Amino acid sequence: MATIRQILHRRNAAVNINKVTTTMETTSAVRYRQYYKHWAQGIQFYDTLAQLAYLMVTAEHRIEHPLMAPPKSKTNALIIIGADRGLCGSYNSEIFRQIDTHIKMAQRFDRELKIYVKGVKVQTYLDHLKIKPEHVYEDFTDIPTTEQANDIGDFFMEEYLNGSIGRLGIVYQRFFSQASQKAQTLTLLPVEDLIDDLTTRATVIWPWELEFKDFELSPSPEHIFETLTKMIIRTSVLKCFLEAAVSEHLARVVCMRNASENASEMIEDLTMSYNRARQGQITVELLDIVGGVEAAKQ
Amino acid sequence: MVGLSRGKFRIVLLTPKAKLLDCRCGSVVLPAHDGQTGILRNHCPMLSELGFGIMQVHEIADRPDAFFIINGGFVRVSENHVTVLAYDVTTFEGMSEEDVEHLVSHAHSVVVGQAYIRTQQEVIDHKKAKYIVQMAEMVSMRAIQPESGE
Repeated sequence: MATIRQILHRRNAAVNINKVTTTMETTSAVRYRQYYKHWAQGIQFYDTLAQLAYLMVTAEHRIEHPLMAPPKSKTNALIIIGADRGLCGSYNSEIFRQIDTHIKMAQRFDRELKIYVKGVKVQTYLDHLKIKPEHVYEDFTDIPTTEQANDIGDFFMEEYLNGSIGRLGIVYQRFFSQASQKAQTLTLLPVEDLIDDLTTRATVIWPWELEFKDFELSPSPEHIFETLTKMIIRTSVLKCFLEAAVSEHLARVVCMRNASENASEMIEDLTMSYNRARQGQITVELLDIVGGVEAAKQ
Repeated sequence: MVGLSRGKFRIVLLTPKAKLLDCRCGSVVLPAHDGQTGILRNHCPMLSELGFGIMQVHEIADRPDAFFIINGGFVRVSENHVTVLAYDVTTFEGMSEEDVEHLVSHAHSVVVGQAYIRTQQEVIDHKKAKYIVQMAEMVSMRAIQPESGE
């Protein structure tokens, strides 16, 4: 049986935990709302870009581009986007599971892996696996600026074109809706895989009866395709970071809300135990006094 | 109701972070990669790359004309739907008067300091500043026009 002092200590600890979790929930909720707004407002942009890509790849006249060519190298590059902190449920562990799968697949098919990391937790996990990342993105907190995302996209396009890498994937927590997020890998290069992924999403359906041949193109289709490809890869990099940030903050909000609720329940229980123990002590003391008075009378 | 939308078409301006414009308008002038392109209702289906310049949207219902500085992107015209995809957009829309004044005065100072341009980025900034000054003139002209018309 715990003493009154012990119960009080536990209760104070629960109160402090409740304060911390509530603050974290509020902070993450603010960021979540901010990023979610960006995500929601950007959906149409990405969908339209995917529609254009669909239009270009379904052309009767096949458009050739070096980024569409089959990979020359057996080296795969992976950008892994994780969180800097924990306390977000299974967010990080799902990413780790994806990393494990990639490592196993690379071993099975004799591929080399070049890993690029965002997030302290992923770094720690790779240290544990004794894998040294090629690069750690530390110059931004959650989401890169447009210029930074462009630089990342351009760097990998360059690497692909000179044959240093044969494939580029981004491991991140994809945000489908408030009720559904899932860790997965989006293949960015070769760009054919990316277009395939973008155009087969349920939301991106070519809404018109018009076909490629009906459009007047300016400049040439090859030139448009080159610019479009660059734009798709750059925006996909940015979008992956954005979706990862939205998912992370949502996971933290949910997790911290549950923790706050549990702490509140614990505070309630401990308060009840404390009052009961205090009342018991008062009763014992009263009985002692009454017993002492009775003994003195006799 | 049909008469109200006669001669008009839908225009949407999208960026990765926001939908900046979604309305019906009478005409649009776009900075295409090879010069200015004008679009009216019933334009043929078109897919074009955009360059650096000012996009002008005229005859918008219940609001004044809109102007945007666009640096690269695409425009798709199909079945009286004009969709502009732009990566870098500068606009006075949603900005306070003070912010607009500050932006324009900064642009003026950049335009004046032309002699000090060295890097590629500075060339772009200088060009953008010129467009900001030009766009400010267009906006002020549009504001004066209705009064002079009366």
